[in-house]
Amino acid sequence: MNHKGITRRTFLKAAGGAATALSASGVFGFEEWKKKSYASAIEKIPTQCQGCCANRCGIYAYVKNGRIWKIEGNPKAHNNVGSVCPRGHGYIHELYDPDRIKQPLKRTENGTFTPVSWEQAFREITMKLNLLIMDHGPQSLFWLQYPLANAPLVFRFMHALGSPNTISHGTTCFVARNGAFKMTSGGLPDNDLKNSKYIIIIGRNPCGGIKLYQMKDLVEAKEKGAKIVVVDPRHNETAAIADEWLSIKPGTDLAFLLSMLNVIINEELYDLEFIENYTVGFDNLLDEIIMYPPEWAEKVCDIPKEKIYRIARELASHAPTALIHRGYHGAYGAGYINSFQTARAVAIVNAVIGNYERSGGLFMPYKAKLGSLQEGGHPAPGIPTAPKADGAGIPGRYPVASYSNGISHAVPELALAGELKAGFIYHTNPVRTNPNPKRVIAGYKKLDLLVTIDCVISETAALSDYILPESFYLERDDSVDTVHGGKKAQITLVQKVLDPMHDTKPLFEIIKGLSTGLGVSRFFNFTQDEYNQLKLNPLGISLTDLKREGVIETGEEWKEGFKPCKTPSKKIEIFSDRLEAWGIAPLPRWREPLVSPDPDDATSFRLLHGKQSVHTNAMTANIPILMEMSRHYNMIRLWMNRERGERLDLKDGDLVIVESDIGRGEIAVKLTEGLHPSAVWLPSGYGVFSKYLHTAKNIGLSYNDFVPTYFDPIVGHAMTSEVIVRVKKV
Amino acid sequence: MLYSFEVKSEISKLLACLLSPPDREITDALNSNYIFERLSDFFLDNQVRLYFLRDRNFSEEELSDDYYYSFFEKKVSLIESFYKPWTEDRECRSVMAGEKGLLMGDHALHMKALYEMYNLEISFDISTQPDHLVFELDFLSFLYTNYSKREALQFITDHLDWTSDLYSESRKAGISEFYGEVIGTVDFFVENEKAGLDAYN
Ligand code: SF4
Repeated sequence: MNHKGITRRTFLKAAGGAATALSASGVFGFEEWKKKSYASAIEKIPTQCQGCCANRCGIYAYVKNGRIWKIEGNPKAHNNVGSVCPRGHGYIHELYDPDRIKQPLKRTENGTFTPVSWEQAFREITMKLNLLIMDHGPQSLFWLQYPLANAPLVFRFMHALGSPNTISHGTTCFVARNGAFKMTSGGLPDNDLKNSKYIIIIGRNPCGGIKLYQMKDLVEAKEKGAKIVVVDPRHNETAAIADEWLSIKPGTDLAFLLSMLNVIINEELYDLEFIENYTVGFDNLLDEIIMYPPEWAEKVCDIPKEKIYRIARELASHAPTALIHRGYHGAYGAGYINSFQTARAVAIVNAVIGNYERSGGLFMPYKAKLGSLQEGGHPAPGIPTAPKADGAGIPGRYPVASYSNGISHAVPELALAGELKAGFIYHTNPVRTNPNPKRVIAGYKKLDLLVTIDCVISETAALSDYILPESFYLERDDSVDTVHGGKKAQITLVQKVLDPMHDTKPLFEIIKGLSTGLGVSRFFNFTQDEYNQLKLNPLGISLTDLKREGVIETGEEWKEGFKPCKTPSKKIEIFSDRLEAWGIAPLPRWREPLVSPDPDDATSFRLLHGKQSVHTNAMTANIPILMEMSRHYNMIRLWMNRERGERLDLKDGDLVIVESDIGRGEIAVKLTEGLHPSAVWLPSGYGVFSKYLHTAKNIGLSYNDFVPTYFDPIVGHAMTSEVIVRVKKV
Repeated sequence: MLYSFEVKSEISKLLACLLSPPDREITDALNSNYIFERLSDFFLDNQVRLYFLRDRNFSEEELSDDYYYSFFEKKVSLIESFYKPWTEDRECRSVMAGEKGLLMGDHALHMKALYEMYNLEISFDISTQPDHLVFELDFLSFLYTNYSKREALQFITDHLDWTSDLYSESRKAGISEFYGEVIGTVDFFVENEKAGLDAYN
């Protein structure tokens, strides 16, 4: 039907078939429909939580009338043993959030975004990439991601293009710890907390930075009589259940550990048989450690020498069912210039008390070895010959940095230097997670092409030329996952439980779409299901069974007994020849933090940060219920030692100005006895400034606004606690 | 004045057109005063101000900017679920239960059920949300053309009782004048129809 001035357009069209008499069907009226619909059955489907954290907990999704109803922990999954954290429950909210990206977006000349079709987005992106590859070579491309189960697909894609620059967020998070354990014991061990009788946790907070199985294990250990000692400048959530909290001066954990070694060695409390059989370089340690008695350490780290003696003796007396927790981000993941050697010292104290591969000590978690696509007739592309642009793993640059993690916060620097020209950002937000946002923004803006794959328009997505919307985790199938490894290997996966609400795609389809225009589709001539089944084949597991169960255990059960390490000597390397060859201290050696507060300035503090249990970085801040919890419990405050605050004439709740050489912001202060006097502490996860994230925008501060751009010389991490701020009353 | 259901159907459809992403045809229909004339024939002068449609030189580009600014930048939602509790099902234990500001609430599911039962499908790609105001106005137009006043009144009562919330929201957000006035007109139309149909009953 045509009007004079306007076509009678149809927003709704007849689908064919006869219409039902609705009034008679009893669902035309909303109230009648509700009655029928509310009585519908609920379906339970296993999948994995992707609440923007590394745990990837096994869950059951309950679905009613095509909508998510609730989620519940899968008790078989190692990482969460039946639980779901507040972020996991809160994050499902994002599925129905109007802030989600509903179709591919393209930046317009005036800086706004316009919706485009997938075909147009793929065509234009690949056209630009082909030209850039022709002009600058494939090594000018990067892919930065939060590594999930799909990471191997991303490496395959980038290798097919000839680029070695696949990078994770690791240098702002955990790489100093991982690098140190890799150099010492050949890989990252897990803590057998529940069987341990004496547990020291240094700068790690599994109850705030959420590791659900560790929370359960700590409680179980405590119920069985274990002693828990938390060493942290802040009285964190884990300290609340500990027997003892040592408020250490920030950045001095290495001094504490070296003096513990001093006591253990001087008093011959070590496990000589273990040391002789399974370690190398203990003798070199004897000469080195003499310099670090507790009498020295107490002046450095503010822990009385008597306590250091006692704790070293207690730890050794409970060995081998005693451990120092392997840590994560806090004290030695990416914090200080001495973080790598601090983590080495953690690995070495555990080694000298002989607790590796012992019940109640440390053990290498079992991971399933997945099959290869080669077996299915899909050869892998070759490893690119070009070196990584960020220098990861290259002697003379960052020798201990790993190929798979690279150096995330080097990307903007390499863009400014003209070495990187184009890239993809997947499931991460470097403008908020990297230090020095002005510099990061300048770097990403310098690129000729930036494509972000995400569910919402983060700060980084807002800078991008194209934004490709990934389907929400409940709307997609992903690759099989081995993240749940403990004393037995487990296989899990994210599987689709709902139809996508918007015009979005899973990563697999996005990569396939891009690969066609880039001439590498021959490396992706299989479906996600075929890929998954090929990966499962050697384990004798069918994809159908995995989809039904959600979690399947495989392989043998862990048994006590030393297993050869993945180090050149196959032993734990207390002294490292490799480090020595690279000009790095081959034994942990004390080194002051790079910067320290000015003792003559009452306003000068070290800025520390850490997680709260309701948020993961800035990714969950836009979830209304999680932000409401932050408000309700008054969590968005800067912690300061009460005495220091009172000297600045501050009262609890007063507004303060926080200022560093590169940043400035205002926030309410929380005065507390639970923080070392030399530091202030800022919860992470706030300080969102993307105008597209309506719930989180302009609430709280991000520590990254104050931290300068640094690269530690060993693994290239960001040293995010090497920052001094001045704090004044507004 | 009483208008035929055919006229009401046309007005409902025209309002749906005005709230869909602007294109050349809509701009031309505005510039030729066609839309103004059809609407002013329907609304008495003193009932609703339509000057914003009259004798203006609309460009597709400017209207698109206004549309983007109002519904993307300012995030004023044209989706019914956004203004209503996500579900009132007491069995629901999820964080969304009872909460407003979300998509795919009970009302969206009901719209889906209505389309299915009338064998209708969404054919315009502004949003995949079944309870978008454009689809709801088009569905009302469909009811006026094909069914009785009883269905139209029931539908307005169940699904178009949120346009005044939308109007307040659009004023609070300070969206473009043009789309603010279109929303005001839709709100007036819906209220008027409800009152008229009630009285007719
Ligand atoms: S810890 Fe929480 S957010 Fe992370 S995967 Fe598990 S349930 Fe999800």
